[in-house]
Amino acid sequence: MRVRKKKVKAIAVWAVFAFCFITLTGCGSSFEPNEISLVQFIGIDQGKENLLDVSFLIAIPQNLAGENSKGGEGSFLVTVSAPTVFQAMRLANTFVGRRMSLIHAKGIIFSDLAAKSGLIAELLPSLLQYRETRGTAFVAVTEDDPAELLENFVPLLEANPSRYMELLTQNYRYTGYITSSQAQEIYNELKVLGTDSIVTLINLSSEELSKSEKQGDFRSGGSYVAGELPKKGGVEIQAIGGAVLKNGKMIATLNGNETMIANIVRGEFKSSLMALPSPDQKNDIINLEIFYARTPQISVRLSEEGVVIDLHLRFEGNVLGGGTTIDYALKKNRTRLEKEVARSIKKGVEEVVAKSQELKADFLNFGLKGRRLVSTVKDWNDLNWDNLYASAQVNVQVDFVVRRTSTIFKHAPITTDEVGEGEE
Amino acid sequence: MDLKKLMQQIFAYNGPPTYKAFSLEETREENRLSVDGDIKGDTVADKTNRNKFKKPRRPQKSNTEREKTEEEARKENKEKNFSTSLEQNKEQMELLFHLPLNKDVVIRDFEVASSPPIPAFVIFLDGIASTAMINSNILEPLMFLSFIQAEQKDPVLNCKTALLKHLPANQVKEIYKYEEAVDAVTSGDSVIFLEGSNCAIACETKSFAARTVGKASSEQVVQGPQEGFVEAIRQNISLIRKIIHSENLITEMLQVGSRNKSKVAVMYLVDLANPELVKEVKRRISQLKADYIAEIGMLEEFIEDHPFALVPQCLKTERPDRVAAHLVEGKVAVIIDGSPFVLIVPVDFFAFLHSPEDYYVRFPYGFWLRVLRVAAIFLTLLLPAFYIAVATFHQEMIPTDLLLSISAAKERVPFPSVMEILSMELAFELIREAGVRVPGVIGATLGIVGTLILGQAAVSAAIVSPISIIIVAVTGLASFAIPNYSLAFGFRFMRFIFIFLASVLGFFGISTGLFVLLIVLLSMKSFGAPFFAPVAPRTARSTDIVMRFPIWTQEERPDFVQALDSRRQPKISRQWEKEKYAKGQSTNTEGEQDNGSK
Amino acid sequence: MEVSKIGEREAIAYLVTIVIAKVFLAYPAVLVGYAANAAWLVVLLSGLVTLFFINFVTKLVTSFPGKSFPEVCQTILGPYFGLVTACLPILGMLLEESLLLRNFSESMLVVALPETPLSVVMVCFLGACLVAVYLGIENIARASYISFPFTLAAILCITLLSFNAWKPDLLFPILGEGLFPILKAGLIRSSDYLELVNLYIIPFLFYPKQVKRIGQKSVVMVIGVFLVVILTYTMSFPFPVAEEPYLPLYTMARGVYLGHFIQRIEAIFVIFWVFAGLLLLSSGFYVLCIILAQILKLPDYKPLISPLAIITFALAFAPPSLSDVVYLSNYGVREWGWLIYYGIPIILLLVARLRGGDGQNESTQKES
Repeated sequence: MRVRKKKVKAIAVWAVFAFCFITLTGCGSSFEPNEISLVQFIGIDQGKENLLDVSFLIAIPQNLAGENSKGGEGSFLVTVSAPTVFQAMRLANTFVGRRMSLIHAKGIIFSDLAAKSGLIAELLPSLLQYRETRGTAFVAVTEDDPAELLENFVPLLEANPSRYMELLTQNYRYTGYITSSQAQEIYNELKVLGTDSIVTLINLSSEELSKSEKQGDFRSGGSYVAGELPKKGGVEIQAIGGAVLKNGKMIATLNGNETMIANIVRGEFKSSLMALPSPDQKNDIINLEIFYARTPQISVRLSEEGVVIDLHLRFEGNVLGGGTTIDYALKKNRTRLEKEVARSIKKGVEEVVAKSQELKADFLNFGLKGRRLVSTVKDWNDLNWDNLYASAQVNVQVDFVVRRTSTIFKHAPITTDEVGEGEE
Repeated sequence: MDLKKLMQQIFAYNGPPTYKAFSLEETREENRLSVDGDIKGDTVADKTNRNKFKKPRRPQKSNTEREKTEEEARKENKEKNFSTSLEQNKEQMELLFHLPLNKDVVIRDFEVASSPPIPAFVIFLDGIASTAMINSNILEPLMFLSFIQAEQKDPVLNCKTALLKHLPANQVKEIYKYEEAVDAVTSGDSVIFLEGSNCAIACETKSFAARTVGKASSEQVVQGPQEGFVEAIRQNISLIRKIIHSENLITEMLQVGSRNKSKVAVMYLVDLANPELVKEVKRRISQLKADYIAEIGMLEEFIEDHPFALVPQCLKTERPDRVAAHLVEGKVAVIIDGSPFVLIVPVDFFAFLHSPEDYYVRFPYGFWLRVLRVAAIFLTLLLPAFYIAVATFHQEMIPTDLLLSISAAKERVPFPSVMEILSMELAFELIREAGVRVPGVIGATLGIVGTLILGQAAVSAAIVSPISIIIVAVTGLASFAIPNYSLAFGFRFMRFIFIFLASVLGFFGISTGLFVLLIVLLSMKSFGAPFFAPVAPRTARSTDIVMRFPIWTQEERPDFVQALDSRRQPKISRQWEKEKYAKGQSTNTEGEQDNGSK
Repeated sequence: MEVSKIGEREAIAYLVTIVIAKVFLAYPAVLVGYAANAAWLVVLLSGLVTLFFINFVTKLVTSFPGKSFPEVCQTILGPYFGLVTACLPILGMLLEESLLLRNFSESMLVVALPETPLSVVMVCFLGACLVAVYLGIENIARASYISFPFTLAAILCITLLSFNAWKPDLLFPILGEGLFPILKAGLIRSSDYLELVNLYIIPFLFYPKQVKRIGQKSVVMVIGVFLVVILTYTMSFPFPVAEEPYLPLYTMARGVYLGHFIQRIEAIFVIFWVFAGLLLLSSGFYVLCIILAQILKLPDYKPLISPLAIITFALAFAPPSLSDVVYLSNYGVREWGWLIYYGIPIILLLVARLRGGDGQNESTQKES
């Protein structure tokens, strides 16, 4: 028993020693939740005074989630001039009391000047290397001042701007007008040959509706670029379209439709609502909800002239009716509609492909399929895809099938003098 | 009263107190040590023999002249045999029992109604010997039956004849030593001394005041038997025998505690339990040297393998059905007189997660209950630590909205997270302990009301954040869901170690703590069987570790018990399914199935 | 030194856990560095090479049942050469242990505890390992058996939940760096399975009859796990990016984003990574202690624990930075380790065969 007592004593001594050792060295990395200030978004602009003007939108937890929230501003904006983003964080701590932390930063927004001068390629790697930044944050480009844009992130339905933006940037799934441009994806695409990125475009909106007296002309919904859409009310920003990055620099912008087509060809499309003039009566507009029938089939082959890319897209859709009284559920009418839709999409795709070949930027990611042409990485590098693609021949084939027509399968006509009840 | 006297009484010094306040002085032995012995800190210990110079001893004078201490004398007397003289026996017994000081002991002189009459006396302890039995089984026959012929030539035979022919008591024994007589009397028997014989008769007349069999207070089930053990050992053994009607069920009696001499029963099925196991259990119990072992918890501490471990290694249960089920698996049950809990050895860790209810309800519900309990264990152990780790180290692991609400809730709270959790845990433990002491209905309500009000008030006063209350409440509830009381205690204790580790090292601390805990638990043994069998070391497949499979699949006994017969059900226990039902035929099942129900 | 044997399942769980513990460190990135996006081919190849070598290992164990590794060396190669051969694993393991300790602790700092001093984390790691080593290898094996399904589930969770980011096109060009680099890497990287040599270094832990099955099954399981991890990793991250991180699996866990709620799951990663790391460290430490004890013919290995712990701790601080540690442990030791550790059983078996009657008969005679 004495041995056991000694053993217990020894263990007790070691336990006390361990306790002291661990506690006296300090609980170094522990921070109470209210000792850190949570940055929700980072805005980066070319600096006037220093290299960069960095803006941080910082959450105020009490107003966002507290019991006695005064309902005031949920976050506040600070802008600092600094050479790098990290120095900007530390410099912000010269007047922000709590330690700045990027662990819940949901978005990084660059100004278009910054994007055009290649700051995305310069800053994104170091941001992702930092342990606090997450790869799932979205990257966006704005043609206005990022600080002003961030100030306008005042959501009306949610309390929390980061939740609002998170939902907004996920809207690509059912609108298709923007892409999912997560930081890790953009970073990957920077380092891979044969892919170029499309970054979400977010601009301030001018908040005015036209005051003309007659009806405007038909303009496809996705033909706007961010900032052009006439709208009034709600949060004063618009996220439509994208900015094309080549070699890390922004070279062009795309409107909503072009971005949707880019999503379609990349395989990231989920669904969208199209509006199309009817093939029979040009004044009637048909609404369609389109989905993939199959993922796009892209095959790339080398021929004597260069690269030949065969693109086969298959869609299925849901006709939501429109101003027309032609019953597109009937087979004879349906075929006409399907052909018209396929033709219209094909035209759009060809236009976008032409644009990408002109810009020499493969933002449709055909390069990913082109990797199958060779067998080693060295050969792939030697292939020089960018040049090959610029002179490639792209054959587009689009099929569209109408699967259902929403809730009705027969259209009765509207009675007029000529047309009676139920008459064709 | 005289004013002057009053003033004097209040203000003046009235001399030293008229009585000496009682204080317990050091015994003579300790006084000697304080002069001679080694003073270390506050206690005085005997000097170590190393430094002591042993003086040579003078040869002693012969033993008979040496002064005997009173104790030695009594001890010697006890070991003597009876003398043939009744008077001497009576004197000796009075000496041993400190008569006339001890008013409990009764000596009843009488004469056996034989011809010639034999003087005798019976000695018993008033209160634990049944007077009715003494009157009707001892005094009545011996005093009334007048046709008894006394043996003149060999008075010893009187004793034996009386025993065989004239005492209608159901358990009698011949004894020859004072020690045996003392043991018999103190355990409730009556001892009859006859003139002229050096043997006495110990008659069974026990009647202790005891509780009747009632509900098991600490292990309740909804669907199942409600009987629980009581304090009397005979009744407990009878409760077990009510369930197992087998001639192979053996009860061996041992004695522990040198001053209280409690009876300990070791029960096992001789054709199942490994003889080595039984031998080891008996060896450990019989080699205990202690003054007072009166309760099963004390006995458990004396005989378990790892007394310093935080988890128990023997199962204590209050339910006879559970004991019976374990006995049928080949384990050994240890029952001590005076405790309604029975110890079962050897036991694996997973037995602590089992409750008898799992077996009495249908298999899917039992399955679900077990899952819930495993979750309860993890919650008890890890939830506060998890919260602290996540809130102070790994804020990136929680969704933004949750972090914002935690942060907002903590705005007005002056304490760091660890302090909040620890103070709420302390409050909860206090409430739990207080609830145990408050009797009856108030105790239950106190717990609930206390926690709610205390928690709510603390939140309103901004001393703690509401999340801490939730965490602590859920942890407390989870610890109540653990079926075994000792295990719950052990895990409650370990929770604080994990809180400490989490507050210093975050998730890394928790994982390291879990690892060390797992390794230490794995290295423990319970009476020679590895503690985590049958999971690790992986022995035969068992259908009853964490999840319980249907009762007709439990075909083998647990492997770690090394029972003599490991098969308890044939492959098809539902033999009624084997026979095809034919119209007009009577259906008799072929074999009986031997279900063990826990 | 009485050690109880462990059964087949526990042995497989133990060996597989300590081999795949490295998948939580820089292993995937290292493989991608060798063969670009054909890293999965390297896994397959190195696995096949290891299967080939394992045969020799198991043959060595089954030919000399009941003998410890230094005894076997000394029986076959004579007292002096045998001693030298038995000492070779010690040096390698000491180096490996200290590098592992440093690697795990530094990675812990990178991931979770950025401002804690390194020595605190290392002392905690080492302390937990010492407790485990003190309590014996059977308990380490049992602990790995219990945690094995959870570790596998965690790895599967992380790899499979990132399916959103998979692009199978990134697996092309199919031959990555080229055929020859793949073949070379396949041979060299068989030293990633080096922890399997515990089969012949601590043979007393296993039942000789099961050793062959254990070896083969472990290799197959490890190949499976590595394949899943490497495939999903190269599909999620193109190879220039994949070469970069210190902790590829952690980066993958961070990228899991299945909607608003299922994100930020790297907590799972930390818990199981620490567990696997502790098991690997304790196992390596135990082997070190026991080999030394067997060479010095000591009755117990426990007194050697404290001095070896101090030596390991001191050595762990030798490399100046984490990148040195990663380079040393993944490119230094591992590029040549396979030669030594798989070479030893081959040489021993060859010499035993050459000495023909002497070597093996002597051993069989001693037993009978």
